[in-house]
Amino acid sequence: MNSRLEKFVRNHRAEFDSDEPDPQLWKKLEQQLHSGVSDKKLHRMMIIRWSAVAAVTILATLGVFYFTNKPATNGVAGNGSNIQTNEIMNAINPVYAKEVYHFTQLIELKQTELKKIAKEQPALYNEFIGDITTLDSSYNALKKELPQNPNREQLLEAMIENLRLQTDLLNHQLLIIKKIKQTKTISDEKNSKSI
Amino acid sequence: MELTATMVRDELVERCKLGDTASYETLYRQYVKAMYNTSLRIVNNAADAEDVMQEAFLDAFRCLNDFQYHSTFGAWLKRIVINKSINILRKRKLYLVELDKSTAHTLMEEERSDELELQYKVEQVRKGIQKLADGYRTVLSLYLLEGYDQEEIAEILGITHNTVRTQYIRAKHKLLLILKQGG
Repeated sequence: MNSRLEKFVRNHRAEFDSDEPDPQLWKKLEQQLHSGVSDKKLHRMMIIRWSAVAAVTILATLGVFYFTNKPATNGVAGNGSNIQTNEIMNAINPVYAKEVYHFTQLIELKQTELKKIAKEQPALYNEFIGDITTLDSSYNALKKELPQNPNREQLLEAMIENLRLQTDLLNHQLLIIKKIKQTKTISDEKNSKSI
Repeated sequence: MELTATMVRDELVERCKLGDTASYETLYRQYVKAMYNTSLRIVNNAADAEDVMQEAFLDAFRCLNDFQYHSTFGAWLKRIVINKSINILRKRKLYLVELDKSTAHTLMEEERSDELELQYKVEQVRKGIQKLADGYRTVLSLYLLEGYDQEEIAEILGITHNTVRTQYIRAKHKLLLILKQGG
């Protein structure tokens, strides 16, 4: 079968590969490479599992918080004047006031970090924010009560405890996110290495 | 001359095996054009060839650990591409028609005389190949352009060696006829 046609094709072989594939093809391929079906399922399962862990932690901490602080909030009602909370706290106990400042700064920092996942994991982010908001609103209730509470020092302690819980919770949430990201990269790697 | 049992390790392939994402793209860019043209000659339309590219590269990347340098990476990938392309033809119900030897013999004689009159041009030959029926085009492309021998083609297509031979002769005859008629 070694005729002129065969020779001609052999001599011009490269010219026969002249069609160009769609330049967008790699993008599509890359997407598929990073989001295999099995990987998605695994990922979703991880979120559900960690959300459950988070929910249990929140309930437990809220329970502890509620029972340990209930007597402190049973204060006498007075007229709600709008005096600067910071000044009051400083007057009550400057060390406590510093602690409150320190915790609020820390919480703000961690919340900005948490915000980074809002786009990637909106469902998880909303759930986490919901948990923090519950704690934060009880903090604000305590803060509101501070000026007219007779047992101010104890109330301030409860506020600090609340802030500590918020920090712990945020730490916990950030850890969960880190773990999810880790499992995702590991399973991505596995996917690209073998079927 | 003795061939070594395994090929020289491809550094790029090794980096991909280690999970280096950037190397996947480099490997893709290195091979996609040749693979696309190979597939296009079999399936004969761009959309199917692009589907083949996606599936073949995904499979290759995911099974990279199974690739043990019994051939070059390019040859390994090409077999994946060809198998996937042929599967598309099978879905279109490709039949490779058996020919008896006497017909093949006559065709071979005819072909010789036909060829002498022709001045080939790449574009014309390419267009001519595209006009062949699926079965002819596949056998002709695998033999003439992809460089497989008849036994390998028989194995790829799951047909007898003799069928490959007669199919090739008929395909070539048909191609020469098309070229003679001016594409």
